[in-house]
Formats: sequence, structure tokens, C-alpha cells
Amino acid sequence: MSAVPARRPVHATDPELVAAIAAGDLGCLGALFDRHGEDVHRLVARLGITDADVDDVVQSTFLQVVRVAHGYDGRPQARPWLLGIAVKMVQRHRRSMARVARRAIAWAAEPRAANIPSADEAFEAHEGAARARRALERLSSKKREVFVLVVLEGVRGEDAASALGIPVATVWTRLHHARRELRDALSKESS
Amino acid sequence: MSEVQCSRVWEAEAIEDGRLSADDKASFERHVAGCTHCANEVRELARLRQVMARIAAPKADPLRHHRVRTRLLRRTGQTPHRPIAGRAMLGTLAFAAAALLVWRIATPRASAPVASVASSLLASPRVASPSFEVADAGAGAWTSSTSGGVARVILTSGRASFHVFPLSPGERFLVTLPDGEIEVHGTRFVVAVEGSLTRGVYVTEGVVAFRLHGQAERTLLAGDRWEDHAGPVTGAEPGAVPSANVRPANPAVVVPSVPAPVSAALAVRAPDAATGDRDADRFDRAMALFQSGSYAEADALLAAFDRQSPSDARDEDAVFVRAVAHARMHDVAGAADLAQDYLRRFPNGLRRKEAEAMTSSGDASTRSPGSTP
Repeated sequence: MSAVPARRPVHATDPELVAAIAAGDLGCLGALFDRHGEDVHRLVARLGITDADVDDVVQSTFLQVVRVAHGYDGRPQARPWLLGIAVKMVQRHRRSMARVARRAIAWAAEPRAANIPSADEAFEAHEGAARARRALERLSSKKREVFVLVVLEGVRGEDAASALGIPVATVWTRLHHARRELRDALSKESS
Repeated sequence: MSEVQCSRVWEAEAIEDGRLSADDKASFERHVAGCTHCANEVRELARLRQVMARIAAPKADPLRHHRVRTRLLRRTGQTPHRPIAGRAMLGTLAFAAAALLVWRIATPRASAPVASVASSLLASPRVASPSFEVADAGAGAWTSSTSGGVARVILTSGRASFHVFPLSPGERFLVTLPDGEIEVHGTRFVVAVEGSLTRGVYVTEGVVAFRLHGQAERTLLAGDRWEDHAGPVTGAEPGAVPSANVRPANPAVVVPSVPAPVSAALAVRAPDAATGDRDADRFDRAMALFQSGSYAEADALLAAFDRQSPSDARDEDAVFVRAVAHARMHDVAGAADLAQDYLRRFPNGLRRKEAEAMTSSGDASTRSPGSTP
């Protein structure tokens, strides 16, 4: 792989950009961010990260790209790879937030405030969408990650498995259980 | 008691996930035609997908995208968007073009071949230059120069008609007037200058940003006319504007003489009064253009929005996005000026830090005479 893209970053392919980043040319990071930042943002938000933290997690994802770019497998589209890194950053964020929350709760000895609806939720006029969102939020992190990646983001099961570091059979199993729980939750809400 | 399940019901989910081969898929589809249980499962899975797809996809607005991008690049010690390959060639071309332009500036109204040579250099894939035509519309006197992606025509007297072809990202086209300046992003218009004053501007296509010294920027849309109230002016009608069908083979060429225009008084039209209901969705259209990378068009619309709706809550965003748009067009000086404008108007604005960063980057060194409004 060449160290720098033969074309301007904006015209370079994903593998060229990642190769340039791996070679130390971090100028290509901006182009990679412009190309995939929106998708990473959407995934991170869909995985339940609060709006105030989404930007930090997105930034962490792309900083992580700098560290792991040398291990990129050269696939033509970097999107599944990036989404996998984003999922790991979300997991890391959850762990750190869980630690902070535990400390805070222990210190304050009082329950956390109830979730305040975000502006997006306030504008989410459709009741069905609100039900779907609530059902998704009730899924465990592992099932939610698989469901969001495969069903909502359209990532192939094999790519999701690679991104999450699990066997593809586990992807299908988690997806199956996620669907069952979602259907149960939605039917309970509507009844 | 639960109903009896078909043993092939799992295939409904496998199809949903794209796990079945073409043969297995066809087989299951034949099976579904006669199995109500599996047919129901297929419907339920599709319904679940549709219901879950109703969740609004969280979207990062351009400002947020820019903010995260800026922080990211700052963390890695980079500055936004610079061509990486061919920098040496770029420098060589820029130097050669600059040398030619210095010669050209030293000899006003220089002959076309000089402009052609400069243009051909600047028109290389690496260094684009605006394509435009200028035609005499009545005793017009002007000089023109191109530096990098910035073309500037200095209209000293008389009337001239302009046809500026749509600009690419990074390109700017400016008309310097005795008492102000015009910036366009692909349009046709006529300008009349008398003495040391601009007397009239008539826009036939596109959008023109018209700035008079000491006055707020005016945005003139197609069909808009501006006339100096100091006195009557005879101006050129659209017929004097160079034809769209005669795009010169050579970009950035100055067309010396076109038949004189039909004289007619420019109708007075205050730019403030123009557009009315067009303002309603101007901001949204501008943001859509910005997101699609059409920064010049977004900038023009945001300028219009800013002018027409200064008390709108989105005006702060409009001013800041304009600065970002100029930065994306590699117009660092313009971006810095707009960022300064933002800081002046919104000293406690949400984008203050980003605007300050843009201001300082503009002050650093990149402000060039050719790109300073």
C-alpha cells in the first residue's frame, strides 16, 4: 500500500486514506471523517449514547483509527470497519460511564434523575417511533449493537462479527433474541 | 397452548438477514405460499423492520460535524483539508502564475495571449481558476487578474456586463468597484460605475453579493436591480450580457468589446424588499446545499438569509456557517473576516471558540491581497 494517496484526499479511496493515515499522514483523517463521520455519529447515537457525549465518542473513534490504521485489511469500503471501531468506543464509554455513575450514586446516595426527553424525542411526533425507541432502549447492549449494526445500519453479518470480535453465528443468535424481545416489547405496549 | 410451529420458520429470519442461498430462498418462498405460519412470520419480521426504521436517524448538523472535525484535527495537529499529492507541482504552478500575473498587473489591459497563458497554467487540474466573460456595456474600463482560484476584475468607470460560470470549490470571483465590491458564484449581471460611485447593478441570473464601503452587504437575486439614488443612471439590459452559448475556450479570458447595450434606466428596487416568501425556506435550502458540498451557493443563500432575517434565531448559525463555507472553499481570509463578523455580532455566541480559532488562522499568514474583500 502506498504511504500517501495518489489523489487528493477527497478523491482517494478508503483504503488509500487509511493507508496514508497509517503512514503518518494525518491530513487524510479529515477526508475520512467527512466521508464517514455522519454514519459514525448516527450509529453512536443509535447505540444509546446521550447526545452530550456523542461528539466525544465520535472523536474517540477517529482518534482510534489513527492507532489501528496499520491493521486495516484493505477492504474497499471502510464503513463497516469504522462502525466496528465506533461500537468498541461506545462499549468503552459505557464502561467508564458506569464507573462514574457508580461513584456518583455512592457519593450522592440517591437515584439518578429520570431521563429527560431530548429535543429529538420532543419532536418525534409519531407514537410508533417513540414505542420503537423505547423497545430498542430496553435491549441489552450486546443485542442492541448487533441489531443496530445489521438491521438499521445494513452492515453484513460477517462484517458485524468481525467488528465486534465475535463468531458470525453469535451475531445471528443475538439478532434472533433481539428481534424476539423487540416484538414482545412492542406487542405489550400496543396491547 | 401454543400453536404448532412449522419446522422451516427459522428460514424467515434467515431470508431477512440474507443468509440463504438463492436456491434455498426460492424454495422457502414456494413454501411460504402454502404455509400460513411461515407467511405470518415473514410479515411480522418485515413489520418489525419497518417499525424500527421509524426511529428518527440521529443526524449531525453541519456545525456539529465541523466542530468535531476541527477538534479531531486539532488533536492530531492537522489543519483542515490540504491537498497532499502534488504539492510540489502546485507550488511550481502557483509561482509561475504569480510571475505572469505580476507582469500582467504591471501592464494594465494587457493583451489576451498573456491572460491565456496564465489561464492555461491556472486551469490545470491542480489550480482551477474561475471562468468568466466581461463585456463592455458602455464606455466600460476595467482590468482583471487571477491569483490562484480568485479572479478579480477592477471596474474603474463605465458599464460592463459579466457572465461568471459556476465556480468550483475554492474559486472566487470579485468585482472591485470604486466604492465597494461585488462577489458572485456563477451568474450574469451588469454594473454601472460613474466617477467614484457605483450607480447601478442589474442581476439577470444567480445571486450577487454587493458590498458598498460602510454599508451592510446586499444580496441581489436574479431580476433584482439596485440603483444609486444620487442620480439617474443608464444601464445595460440583459441583452448585453454575454451569451451562455459562447463559453470561451479559454477560461478567465476577457472579452474586449461587445455591441453597446440598449440604454434604459435601471429600475429602483430596494434589495430588502425583494424575495418575500422566498426567505421562508432559504435557510433550509442553504443548509442542504452546504451539506451537499455546494458551499458557494450555500454561502450566497445564507448571506441573503442573514440580510433578510437578521432577527431570526437561526441568524447566528447562518453567519457562522458562512464562515465555515468560506473555509471549505479554501478562502481562509474570507472565513476569518466572517468569523470576526460573527464574534462582533454574537460576542456570547455558541460558536465563539470556533470563530476565534478561524479568526486566528486567517490572521496567521494566508490573507492574500487577491482574496481579501
